[in-house]
Amino acid sequence: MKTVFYLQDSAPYGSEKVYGALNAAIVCIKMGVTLGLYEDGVYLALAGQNSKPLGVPNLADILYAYPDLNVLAHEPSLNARGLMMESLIETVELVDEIDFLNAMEASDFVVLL
Amino acid sequence: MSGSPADVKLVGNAMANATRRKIMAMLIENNRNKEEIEKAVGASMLDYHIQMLQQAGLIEQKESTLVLTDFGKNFTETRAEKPVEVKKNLTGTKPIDIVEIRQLLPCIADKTKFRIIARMEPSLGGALKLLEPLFPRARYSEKINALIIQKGNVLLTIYSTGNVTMTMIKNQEEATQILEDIRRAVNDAIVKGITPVPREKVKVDHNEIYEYLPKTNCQICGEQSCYSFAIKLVSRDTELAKCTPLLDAKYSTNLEHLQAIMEYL
Repeated sequence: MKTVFYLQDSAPYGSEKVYGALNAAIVCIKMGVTLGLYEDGVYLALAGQNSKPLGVPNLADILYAYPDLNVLAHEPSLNARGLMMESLIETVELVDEIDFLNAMEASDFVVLL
Repeated sequence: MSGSPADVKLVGNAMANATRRKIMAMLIENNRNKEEIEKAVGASMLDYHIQMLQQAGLIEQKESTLVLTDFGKNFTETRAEKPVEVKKNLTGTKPIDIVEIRQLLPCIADKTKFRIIARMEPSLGGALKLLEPLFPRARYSEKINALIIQKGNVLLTIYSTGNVTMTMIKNQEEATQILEDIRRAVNDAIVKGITPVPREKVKVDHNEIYEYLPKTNCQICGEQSCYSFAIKLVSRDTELAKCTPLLDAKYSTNLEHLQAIMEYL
């Protein structure tokens, strides 16, 4: 079984990138997929997102709807943005630099949108 | 640690990392020096992880030894992986309301069914685990702090933060009905106390598993038939992952159900 790692380094609501990556990751759930949040991508891990004023889908809802999606957040990126004191979505696992890299290397494919 | 919301978040985020959970598990057994921990979890970023645990007030360094703080001991005794305050009874738990049904996403397996995301308020937090006996088929997941309830084909996940997700829902009315049933059951329990319901088929038999297998007798799993595969699954002589046809999109709902059933074995 091939495994895929979706590397996401864009902020969730600035463009459609994250929405696209999330949906792509979800259709791969059965084949072993990891969504890796990196740099500005880690904002997706924050709990309590409200996208109503923007009129776009709430991306946190998608994470909640698919608790079996493996989501890793790069902890140094969270730290650099001062987000370690914020509530995060329960299904997100925090990983350090090395483990993040290991997860990428262990996957057969890495997709960067 | 004062237990303020900021501290709670700090602890939660400190424990949302596998390496740090491993360090905590080692310290529960015994006080350790850094070299011992390094041997078990590796040297990379060890200082950083130790610093995170210290900041959260879970561990402290006494000379060259790392020990759990009183707060750390208390935290691990509750065996909670996340900082949800574990409750012993429902005293003080407020009745819940369904405040929002937020989004309808089509199910991958069956486009005529939906995934629903709803919100219950106030969130149940640590009381959620106590509600497990209220439902014939429910289990509490420590990993994601959520109560997973099976109702027929519908899988319902209630998070301690108040979010609720449901799969295989026919329409919004069905979702509302199920949520209303849950709301009533929970609120009754808050008023009258928890009356455990009889567990529904706690002992799963092979016939039930067979119902959800592809029934193609393809022998990919190495067994003569799907039926014998089901029997071996019950006796734990094989594992579900060996049935690779289940990974096909058309069986994704079956797989989801089998995974839920296997929890009861």
